[in-house]
Amino acid sequence: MSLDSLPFLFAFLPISAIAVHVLRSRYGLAPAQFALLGLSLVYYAAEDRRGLPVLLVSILWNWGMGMRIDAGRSESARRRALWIGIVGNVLLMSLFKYADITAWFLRSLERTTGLAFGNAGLMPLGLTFFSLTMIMYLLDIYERLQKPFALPRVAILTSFFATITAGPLLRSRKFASALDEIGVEASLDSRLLSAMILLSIGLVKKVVIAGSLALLVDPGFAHARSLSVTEAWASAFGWALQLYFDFSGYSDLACGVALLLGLSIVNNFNAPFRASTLSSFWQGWHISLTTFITTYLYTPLLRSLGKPTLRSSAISTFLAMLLAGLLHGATWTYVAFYALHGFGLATYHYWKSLKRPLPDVAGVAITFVFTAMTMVVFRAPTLGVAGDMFGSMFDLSHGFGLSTFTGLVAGADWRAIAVPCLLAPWMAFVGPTSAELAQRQMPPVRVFAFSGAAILLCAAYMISGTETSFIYRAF
Amino acid sequence: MDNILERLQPIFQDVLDQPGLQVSAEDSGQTVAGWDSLAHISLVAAIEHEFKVRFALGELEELKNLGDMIALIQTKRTG
Repeated sequence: MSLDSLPFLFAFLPISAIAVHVLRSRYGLAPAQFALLGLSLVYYAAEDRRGLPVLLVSILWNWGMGMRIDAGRSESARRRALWIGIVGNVLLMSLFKYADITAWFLRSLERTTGLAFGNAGLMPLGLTFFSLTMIMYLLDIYERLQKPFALPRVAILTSFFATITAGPLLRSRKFASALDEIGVEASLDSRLLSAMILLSIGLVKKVVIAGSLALLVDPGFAHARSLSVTEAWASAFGWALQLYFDFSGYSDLACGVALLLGLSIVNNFNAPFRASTLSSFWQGWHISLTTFITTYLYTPLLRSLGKPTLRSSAISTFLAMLLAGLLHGATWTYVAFYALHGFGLATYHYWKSLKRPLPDVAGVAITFVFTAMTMVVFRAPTLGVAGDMFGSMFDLSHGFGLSTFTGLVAGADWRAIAVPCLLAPWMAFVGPTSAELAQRQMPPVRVFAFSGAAILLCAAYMISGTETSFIYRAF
Repeated sequence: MDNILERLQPIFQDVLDQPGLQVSAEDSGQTVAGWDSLAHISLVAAIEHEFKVRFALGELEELKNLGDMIALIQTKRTG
């Protein structure tokens, strides 16, 4: 029952929205908030019953550590409690992300103690997102920007069903004030219209566009070695667009779902492929994670190196991105992706210091091509497959035909693929963003007609089986 | 506020290496050339030194424009 599934859209979401609004208007804020918590736990149990104990452990741990930090009588006691809290979250993530190391450790423990520990199991849903959200919560308490929350509020912040699968990462301070406004009648009408726009655009992006691009990209990557130069570049560009529409579509859905409940949350994307520099690409891509990396990895690293210089910035950027790669998981392809971006960002800072700015068009083209190439590394199951794809992209002896491609996707309906594939570049590079559309004042009739048509189109795609699973769910 | 803005002018000129630059409270990374993540941290470091204040990490992301910076400097100095 993910956010783009029919049971969620036509049953869970309307029931949740009505329950929250009715409880708020008839019984007040607390019952509405408790309903939101109950619904979030039900959603999590339906999505990942096995992961629920891990979520509950995280809630209790961070609630306790938040109070411990706040109660610290000295700065060193507060700092110690903060680090214990952070290490707990990092260990919880590592337990599942570094499953091979965990399994080795458990087997060693079994040999030593004679007890059976079993295995850590699959990654719980949203582990990275709720762990990072909680680390920021603890840091805010340590920096005296936030008082500790009561247990139910920590539980809602951790488990909120709109954002649990793929973010955006929530700032506790902003979320707390939004939580106190859920279901407020005064702004309901405009929020409802914005929510409908975000939900329908998010669905079209995720189900129609990303789903259709996958029909080209998946076979392309499966036969990376035998593609022509044209096919290899088309697969690489197609994958960059697929990842963008999949992830930003899901983020639009998350914002739309939250708005429907009366909660405003941050937008996680802002037209990243229109960026003319790599730095501005990251300011528009997975914004909440970029903010986390900049604030809590890059800045402390830079501060620790003394006066900010080009050299210390390059080192900090590279290290911060490398840490972000390790955070993603124990796969060399993720580490390589972030390391390449760290190197790219450092190079950009150096280029900027030369004061020879490129024309915007050239900047956009270079940024997109670099990003698409690095995303090949992100997508490939191994660095070897990424190497095969680069081989096909740059080895002119592979020719420029489309014979492999047409053979591979022969079973697919080209008409169903062609329109979204043409629409994708327009939406990514030229058209209005979903946030811009959601802020436009449009007549309700037009919004409902547009949303209705979009949702019906997506339902048709879902029923026909074109839909693909959400890519970032794996994190 | 005007006094703070006046004291910020040479900091921006120096950090962004633009001697003639004049910034206003509405300016941000979107409107001032060269004000990116590196420049932002350098500006923060220089401002902390000039005004003898210390920004928490969690506050940095909320400094979206110069007006936000001025308001936070004022809060820190009076608080």
